[in-house]
Amino acid sequence: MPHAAPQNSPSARNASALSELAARATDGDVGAMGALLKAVSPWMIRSAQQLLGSSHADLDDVVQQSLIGLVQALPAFRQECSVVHFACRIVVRTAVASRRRAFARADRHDESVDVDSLPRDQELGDGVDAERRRALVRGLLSRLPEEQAETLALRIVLGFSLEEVAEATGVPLNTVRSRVRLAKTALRRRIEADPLLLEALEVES
Amino acid sequence: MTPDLHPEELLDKAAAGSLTQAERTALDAHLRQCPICRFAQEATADFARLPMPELDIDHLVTNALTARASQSFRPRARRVSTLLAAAVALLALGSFAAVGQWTGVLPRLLAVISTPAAKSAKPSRVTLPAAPRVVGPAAEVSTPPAPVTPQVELAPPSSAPIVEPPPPAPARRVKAVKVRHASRVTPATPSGFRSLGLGAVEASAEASRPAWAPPPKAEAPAPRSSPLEVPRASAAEAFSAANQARLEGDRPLAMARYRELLASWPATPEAQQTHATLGRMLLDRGNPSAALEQLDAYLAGGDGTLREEVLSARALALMRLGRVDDEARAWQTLLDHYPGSIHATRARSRLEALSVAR
Repeated sequence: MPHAAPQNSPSARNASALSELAARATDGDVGAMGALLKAVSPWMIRSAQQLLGSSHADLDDVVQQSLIGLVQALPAFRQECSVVHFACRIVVRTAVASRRRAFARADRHDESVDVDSLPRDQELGDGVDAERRRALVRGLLSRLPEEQAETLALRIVLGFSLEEVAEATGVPLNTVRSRVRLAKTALRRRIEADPLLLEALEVES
Repeated sequence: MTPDLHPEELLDKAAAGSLTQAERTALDAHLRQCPICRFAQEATADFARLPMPELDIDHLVTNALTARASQSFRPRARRVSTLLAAAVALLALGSFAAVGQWTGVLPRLLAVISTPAAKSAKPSRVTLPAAPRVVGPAAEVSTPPAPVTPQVELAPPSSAPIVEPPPPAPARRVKAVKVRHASRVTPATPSGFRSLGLGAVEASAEASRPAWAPPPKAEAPAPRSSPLEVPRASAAEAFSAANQARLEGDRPLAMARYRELLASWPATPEAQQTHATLGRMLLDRGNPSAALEQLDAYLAGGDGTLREEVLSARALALMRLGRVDDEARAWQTLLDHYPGSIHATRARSRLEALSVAR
């Protein structure tokens, strides 16, 4: 059964309710833990899909692993960001690691085929250019240093603001600025290195 | 291309719709000459337009709760790394033995160890005379340390210095997640998880026990006089094997293992969890009658961990069996106990439909 796509962030009211649930779950309330997981899972699924693609073989695994990771990580949650952003960050780290492993495996088998860059049926309706842009960003996640990949994912893929990235990752705002700048530089180099991509994406030098 | 200076704050304001006219002008001017920012803006919009995928949230959440309830999970990658470490250690030992034999160190070492004085002495460190053809600084050899009993970390992970969420587990796939009994799993937490104190999938059972989870019951091993009194570890292993089969998608094997667990260790906590999981699987496979039996057995056991899910599944099983009165009572029970349940909307909707039908 299809689920409604969640907004980028929960409303202030929902965020407060989720924080309460998180506090109760951390105190050992099993019911609250179940309710919390159900409440944040649409955001987590959405994030995993944006990072991996709708038809990625590891999509359900990454979501499952992230949910388990959230259960384990919750005692460490200090309410410095919203619960949803905390959960999304766990998805980002899980998904990026999954992409890196897949990239390493593909590298061992056939360098000429990047399975993740192939268009997905579900997404083709959105336009080939859009899918190319998504594939390019996702491809970069496997190649960038971990911190930059995480920042790129939160910033461009999930659409977090600079402040939200800083809160979710627990690093100073200037560090986030620096990571975004480096990630964009890598993005520029990636586009410049591929004339076909440059042309297809209509990016002019 | 443009220099790597991008007005990130203005991009944030644009996304939030809070740009002033002057800021809008400045941002537009930048976007006109910066294809990377244009690209990033378009890409963010592309990602936001993706349709929501169809995943079974209830199933995923139940799995996560079950993993929590069983207090431990360890992916296959961990076992592989352990085996690799053991293989490397064996290779190193073999190399040492070969070099020792070749250089004459090993026979001398064995001779020293086999003397009565050496046998009576506490083994610690043996200094050997320099051998004539030893290559490298291998004159001093340590005897193998006495086996150390692995220590189970009983402190909850929240006591560790925790800074940020866990790095993604290096596990290959979640389908490889294996549920093990807490007392049998004592691997060291990988550095990434240890530093964060978050455990996630890689952590050992006890070390990764969340602070909010109740401590596991200490159980003394019982004699194997009857299947009901076997040590809990056996039931845990059976549960682990069944869970692994289920997570790997081999449902027939998983169901067979769950049934085997129920037959062999019916009085264990694992069996209690199994009633819920098996009930849900039977329901999903179109066998509501057998599912109902398992779900009722779970509810009769008194475990409340999965009670909300089980009540919902039980109502669905009754619906599929066409037992409308029982179904209505089941939905009502769910609403009475969990008015804020994620299933509440469905329960109310069904109750309304049933009242109209009757």
